[in-house]
Amino acid sequence: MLFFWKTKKVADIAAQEVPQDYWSIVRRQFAKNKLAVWSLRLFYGILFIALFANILANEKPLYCKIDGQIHFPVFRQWLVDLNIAEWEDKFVLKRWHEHNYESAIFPPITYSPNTIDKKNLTYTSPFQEQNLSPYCRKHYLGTDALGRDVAAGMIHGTRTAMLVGLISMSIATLIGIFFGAIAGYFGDDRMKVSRIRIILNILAAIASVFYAFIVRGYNIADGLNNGELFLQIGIIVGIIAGIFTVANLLAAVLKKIPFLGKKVLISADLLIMRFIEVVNSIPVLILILCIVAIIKNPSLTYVMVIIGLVSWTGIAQFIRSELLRVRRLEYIEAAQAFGYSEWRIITKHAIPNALNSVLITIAFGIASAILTESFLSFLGVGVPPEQVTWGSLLSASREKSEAWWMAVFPGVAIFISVTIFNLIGEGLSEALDPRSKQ
Amino acid sequence: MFRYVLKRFLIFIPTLFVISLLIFGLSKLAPGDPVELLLKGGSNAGNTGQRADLESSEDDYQNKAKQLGLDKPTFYFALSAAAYPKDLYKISKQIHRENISRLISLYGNSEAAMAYYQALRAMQLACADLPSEADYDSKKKIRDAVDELFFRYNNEDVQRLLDVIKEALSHPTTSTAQPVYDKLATAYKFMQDNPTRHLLYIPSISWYGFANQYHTWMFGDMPWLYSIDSTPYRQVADLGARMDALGKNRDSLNKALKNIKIRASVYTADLANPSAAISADSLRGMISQLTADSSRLTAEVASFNDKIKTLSDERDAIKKTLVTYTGKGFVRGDFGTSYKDNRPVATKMKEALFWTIIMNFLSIFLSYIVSIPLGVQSAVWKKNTLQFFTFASYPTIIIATVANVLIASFTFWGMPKWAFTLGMAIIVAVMILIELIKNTAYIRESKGFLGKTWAIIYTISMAMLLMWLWILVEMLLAAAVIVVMKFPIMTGLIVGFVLAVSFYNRRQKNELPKQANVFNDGLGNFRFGKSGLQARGSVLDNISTTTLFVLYSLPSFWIAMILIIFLTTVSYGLSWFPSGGAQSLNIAMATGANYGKYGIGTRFLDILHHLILPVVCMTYGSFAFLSRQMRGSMLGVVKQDYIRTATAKGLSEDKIIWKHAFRNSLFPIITMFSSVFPRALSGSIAIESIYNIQGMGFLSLEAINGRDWPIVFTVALLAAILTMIGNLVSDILYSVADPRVTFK
Repeated sequence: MLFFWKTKKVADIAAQEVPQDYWSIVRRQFAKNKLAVWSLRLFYGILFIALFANILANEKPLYCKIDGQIHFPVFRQWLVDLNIAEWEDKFVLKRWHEHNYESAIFPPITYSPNTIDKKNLTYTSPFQEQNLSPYCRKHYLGTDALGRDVAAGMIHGTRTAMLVGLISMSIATLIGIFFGAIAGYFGDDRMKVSRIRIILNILAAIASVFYAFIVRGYNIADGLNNGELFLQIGIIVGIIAGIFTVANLLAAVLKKIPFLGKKVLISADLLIMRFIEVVNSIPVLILILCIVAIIKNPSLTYVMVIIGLVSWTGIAQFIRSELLRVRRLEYIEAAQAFGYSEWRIITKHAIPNALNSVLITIAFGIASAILTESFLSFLGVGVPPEQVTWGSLLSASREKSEAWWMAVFPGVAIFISVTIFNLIGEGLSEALDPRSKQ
Repeated sequence: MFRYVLKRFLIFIPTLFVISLLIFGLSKLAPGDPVELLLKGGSNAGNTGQRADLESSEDDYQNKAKQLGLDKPTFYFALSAAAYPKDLYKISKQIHRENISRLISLYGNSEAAMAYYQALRAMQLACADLPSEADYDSKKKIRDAVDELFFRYNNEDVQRLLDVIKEALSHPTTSTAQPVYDKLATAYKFMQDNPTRHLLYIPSISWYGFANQYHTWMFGDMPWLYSIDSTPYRQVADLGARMDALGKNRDSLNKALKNIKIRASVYTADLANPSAAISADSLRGMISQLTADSSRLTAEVASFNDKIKTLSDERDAIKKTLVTYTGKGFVRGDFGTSYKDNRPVATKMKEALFWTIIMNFLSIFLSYIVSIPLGVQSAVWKKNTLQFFTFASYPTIIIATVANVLIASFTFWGMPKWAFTLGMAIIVAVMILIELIKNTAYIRESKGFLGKTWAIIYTISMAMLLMWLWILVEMLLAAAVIVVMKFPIMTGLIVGFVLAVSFYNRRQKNELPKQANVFNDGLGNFRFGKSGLQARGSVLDNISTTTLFVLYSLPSFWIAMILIIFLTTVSYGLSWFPSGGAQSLNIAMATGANYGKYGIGTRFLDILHHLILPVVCMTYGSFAFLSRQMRGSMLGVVKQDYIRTATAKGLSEDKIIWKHAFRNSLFPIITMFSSVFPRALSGSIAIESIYNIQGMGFLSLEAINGRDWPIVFTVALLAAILTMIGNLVSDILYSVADPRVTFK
């Protein structure tokens, strides 16, 4: 009797104090799912490892004193990468572990993923006696065929995996929200466009194909071979945006002519859903394998971009179904009555209301992107050979099946990261489900 | 319904068109010249520098390009800059074409670029025509420079190469080629001096008609309605064979002629230094004899040459009337030829499909038959933990475990490996039998043919599920034993830590009020109480859902690696399975007389033994996914009012689940069905390459790594078509599962 009363009182107090806005409810719902909460914490941990991979595993000391001078080589590396500073000769000529430091602090793992430890070549087990140089710590997770440290590879592989997951999903989210919002908000009955605008936009599409791709075909090819993928994408997007802007400005002027300005109904939903259907029937993995195999200088950026380009359909469908619901709500009508532009209504009023459901798809999408990337590097397709990823570590165990540490640790890493994103997705979908609200 | 299917097919066509365009575009972007790949440098005779060699290698190239259909324009139309000539595709060599197009992209003057290209070719021929006594080094320099010029477009590179040629031409013996070089240099200068770069920004569309590469690839250029008259082709082959035979004769005659000439020269030398052994007269006689022979042979050779000439003329005449067909096209099942071994892609794929189909059939069958009942059951599991075992009886579990332990130890005692597989088969059979006996009452009760069939299938699948669980448990046990044996201290510490933590937690929990438990215990007695059939939140439910979740998240390629490491490697003591392949080598290789050595039973068991691990890897993921889906939708259905009504009517639990709830919860499973085929294909890529089974996945990965594009793009397009068919089938299945679904 006593504790019933007590709990009731506690609950009452809690009810008074707890904020009742949408996100706090969601957060409370999410917190009920212990697995999801722990996954989220684990995700923060992994994110930390990914961000500070250079500090956690590096052959360079964090701090060292040599010949009376103090250096911070790990941090200097960033400046060197940015072409601001240069290495002194002695650091270039001699390996990092061979200097005579007066004092030095090394990272927890004293190897970079590509450091070759000549004393521990050909698969040294973590439990084996290891012959270590001065300043070198143990190979906690063993080494591979070339004497590279597995733990360092795992830590830097975390960064790769997170990059692939997050970047590819942000690309997918952008595309998915764009198409999903158009399909959902306009539906089949709201997109009324003047004749001249349709004509000019079709012409602009042809022109942008011509000017962005055909005219610049060789520039794009050369740029890609030089590894300027994002620059080229930026130029292409810029040209296309420019052409469409010009066309639409022209249309805004020309639609004053009555014949050209007559409105035509476009079923945006139908068109986009057809498009999604086409994209969905592309076998993703095989397409990625094809594209990645064609590329001359493989790089992870291609893998990210391609995964992003093919996995937006789920997000688009989610946004669409949400917006189909949202657009009937009264506040949207109110916004229309105020005379706000469609663009403003979509971006400021409609999409924010639909965004939360996308989080679920994004979480699952990150899991599958990580899985795809590790599978590709496991197969050795599309990832440069010097890049150490979980998948490439795992594939090294194919050559020697006695080296269990090459199979177990990277696999566990892949498994854990895939699982936590799946669990987070699961937890989110429960927390965001209106039926489970209390 | 029919109209809906028709409509879907009509949508199917543009989708297929778009995807085929995408894949065709990719195949055109693929690096490497297919013609060169297929000729495999066999016609690199051009490098020896003779004019005849150059021409013949060019002929070879053109013929091959024609055979592949690469002498046609790429697409029905082309949107390009006005600077590019419409008939650029007529330049057969891909590198040359690309280089010209690069030059045009630099200067915008197509006529000048073509003139430069012609001058370059003239230079190549002039270089080949240089007299044989010309200085070898300068000749080689010129030849190399000209060859390089064919794929250089940067001004610096071209200028450098032109300078090299100029310098080499200054040698007196090579100066015959000077005027040709002057023309080349002027052509290049002219191109540079007269750029028309504005043309590069003016779009132009040219129409090429149906004789293009895409059309040929998709639909083929062979006639559809009648078969081709093969006589002229046979005549050509026949003439070729005859020419070859004559050529052989002629060659042997030539050889004899050579011998005679050598002998004659020897005798002539002897005549000059007369010796005692042979008299001068007899030598003279022999020489005259040889001369007569040689003139006779020369005449014969000439006549042979004439014959060959007439035959080759005849052949050329026929050849001119012949049309070179590329193929029947994708839609008629002609997927081209593999670059690797020149075999048709369709044949290679047919061979590879065998194992893929077997494995995927097994895996899809197993995963569906196990996961559907498991999903349903796990949705309605009672709070009482012990009831878990009611769907798999104790005797089954005990018998299975005992039998397996025995058999596993047999393998250590030197029994042949397949005995293990046989043992597994026996266990499965026994388990099925026991389950059937146990469930006789249930089967007898169920009404109608369908009901009875379903009851039997359900029983069998429960037995299969048991086998699954058993395999899993045993693997875990084995792994645990290995771990404990290898690192006793480590495991001791970990176990101690876990125990301590859990003990601490329990103490903490004990101090909290057990509100939830009281509540649950009160309701647990009502089978269909407030919370309905569902068992959300119970311990068992948590365990099962988490297990399924973990299984679903485990990457199959990793599990495949782990299984291959720990269950096939001798050094870990558990070499239970073969480490790769689909058959033992000695059995697969046994042909002819040896074939009879192995009976069909042995073969079957051998294949089974090899396929267990790969099929397990392919199955567990979809098994877990399907079970989760099934459970989720079942939970949703069980909440609904009509289930409560059915309960209130007093129907039995089985009837409610299988007759009322099951059908409505099938939707996600049907959706899943659409992705079964592509998933199967991409799943096989990993598993087949790890287990070294020569199936479709193996073939496509090999093709990707070996740049064998025809196979790669065929696989991609077929996978897309399969996905679309899967979508269609799942749409139709929707309407079968739920008559309320209408298609409008």
